Amino acid sequence: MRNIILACEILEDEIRKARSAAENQDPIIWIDSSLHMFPQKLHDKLQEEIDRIDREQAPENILLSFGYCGNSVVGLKSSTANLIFPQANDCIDLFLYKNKDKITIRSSGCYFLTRGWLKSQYSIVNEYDRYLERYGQKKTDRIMDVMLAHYKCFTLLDTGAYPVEDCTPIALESARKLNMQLCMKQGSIQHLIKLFSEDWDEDFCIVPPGSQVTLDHFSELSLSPAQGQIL
Amino acid sequence: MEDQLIDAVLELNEDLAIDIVSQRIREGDSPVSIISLVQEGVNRVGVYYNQGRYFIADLIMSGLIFKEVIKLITFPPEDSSLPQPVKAIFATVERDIHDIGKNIAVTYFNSKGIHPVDLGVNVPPEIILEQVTGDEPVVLFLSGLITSSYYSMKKTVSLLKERGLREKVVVVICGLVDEEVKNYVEADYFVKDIIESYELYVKLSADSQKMISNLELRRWAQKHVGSPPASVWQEVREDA
Ligand code: B12
Repeated sequence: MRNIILACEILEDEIRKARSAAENQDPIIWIDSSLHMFPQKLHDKLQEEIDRIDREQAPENILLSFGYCGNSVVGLKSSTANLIFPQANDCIDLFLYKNKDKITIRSSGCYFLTRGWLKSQYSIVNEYDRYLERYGQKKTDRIMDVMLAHYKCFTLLDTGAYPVEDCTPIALESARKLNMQLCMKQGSIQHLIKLFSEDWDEDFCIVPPGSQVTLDHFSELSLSPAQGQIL
Repeated sequence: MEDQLIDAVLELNEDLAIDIVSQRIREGDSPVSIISLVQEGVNRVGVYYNQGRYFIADLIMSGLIFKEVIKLITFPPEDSSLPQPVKAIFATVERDIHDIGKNIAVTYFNSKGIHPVDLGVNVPPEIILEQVTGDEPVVLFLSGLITSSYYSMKKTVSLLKERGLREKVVVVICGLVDEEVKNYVEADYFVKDIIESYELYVKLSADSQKMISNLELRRWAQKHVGSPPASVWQEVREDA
């Protein structure tokens, strides 16, 4: 077998769309998105799946549709396959692929939404309702003031993988509840399409069998000698 | 350790916690003992969070309770283990705005009578360096949870070096960090826990006093003919 895909559930819409665009038929193993909350557990789960794949299927490549996700991928190792994953901090980076303003957009106080994030019970918009139940309105407001102190808007990313107009009302409603503005931004699934069509250029990390993923694989952190001093 | 106050914090019952604290203040309990019980409650909330029994909101709530309690105690006690506190700077570095851990750390340090300079979130290296002036030693806590925050931490350290300030600044990184990140950033320490951060700070404060007095001693020795007692030199050499 050539490839197996390990994928985060939150990206289901985008992954399905990107696979069909890439005409990719590789089997997928979905990883529970609640692990987003616990990078160490996400790491352990990914390693467990990789070990199982090594034992049972031993493909040539394991494609991880994840970003670094709080160091979750750091330390991963396959004994038989190449580990291949996009150069990205997280899924938000994936969707802002090649966007020149990525750093500014990310630092400007946006909490990002897609249909996947809106559905996830761990997204802030859905957690809010649980908090209301537990703490009542007044305390929930205080908690949310701390949580979202530096956030101004919810940014609905139109990745082209789901009908964004269907999500606008829920996103608007959530923004209203949490005193946020709602913005829209064009996203992209091009990075995922490249992952699934084996177009693995410098925007991907390829870690050979027996080697571990390290921070050095992440080019955003590299101080390229050509650039001399870091900026 | 068992106590009603610890339980009230652990159950995140703010009203009860405040009632107990007010009552104990009236009864003349020492601020140190009251605060250490609240701290213990907050720590246990952290343990529950790590076990998946509590959520982020609960962590935040415990921090809020902690903050409210400190307001009731007018004079936060100086930590007697600290000879003289060294300047502490806290910042969530550029490109990151995660700050729950940092904010709880501010409250914790305040509860010990230490008041760090909190620079907030998404703080560029230049702004951090503005705080690192003069001769005074500094313990710089840089927090980051997003992978690209490591880059900003490294940039900060490299700017410190460039300006000749690295020697007098102890760089401690926190957040989603480990030994590998510490090495990448060229920081001095990494911490995963607020109590550990505070203990490290206490140790560094003590060391920096020694560092300063040794520096003074060396200056004295340079100025005067003759030497200070051998035992003192021994100590200076060991520290050098
Ligand atoms: C809570 C949280 C949020 C909150 C943040 C609220 C806030 N005001 O900070 C909200 C929901 C707003 C949020 C938003 C986002 N988040 Co977030 N978030 C988390 C989460 C689940 C927990 C972080 C946390 O607060 N933990 C609790 C505190 C107490 O722990 P801590 O920070 O580690 O601090 C401890 C120690 O490190 C130390 N410490 C920390 N700082 C300091 C400072 C000092 C001075 C001292 C002494 C000690 C100290 O003390 C603490 C004691 O235990 C993490 C995952 C995780 N478990 O780490 C993801 C995580 C950090 N987030 C992530 C992501 C992807 C996002 C979003 C992009 C999601 C989105 N849909 O938009 C946005 C960011 C938007 C943007 N513009 O980029 C990713 C980052 C991945 C990456 N890029 O590397 C993570 C790692 C999740 C993951 N596995 O992918 N997030």
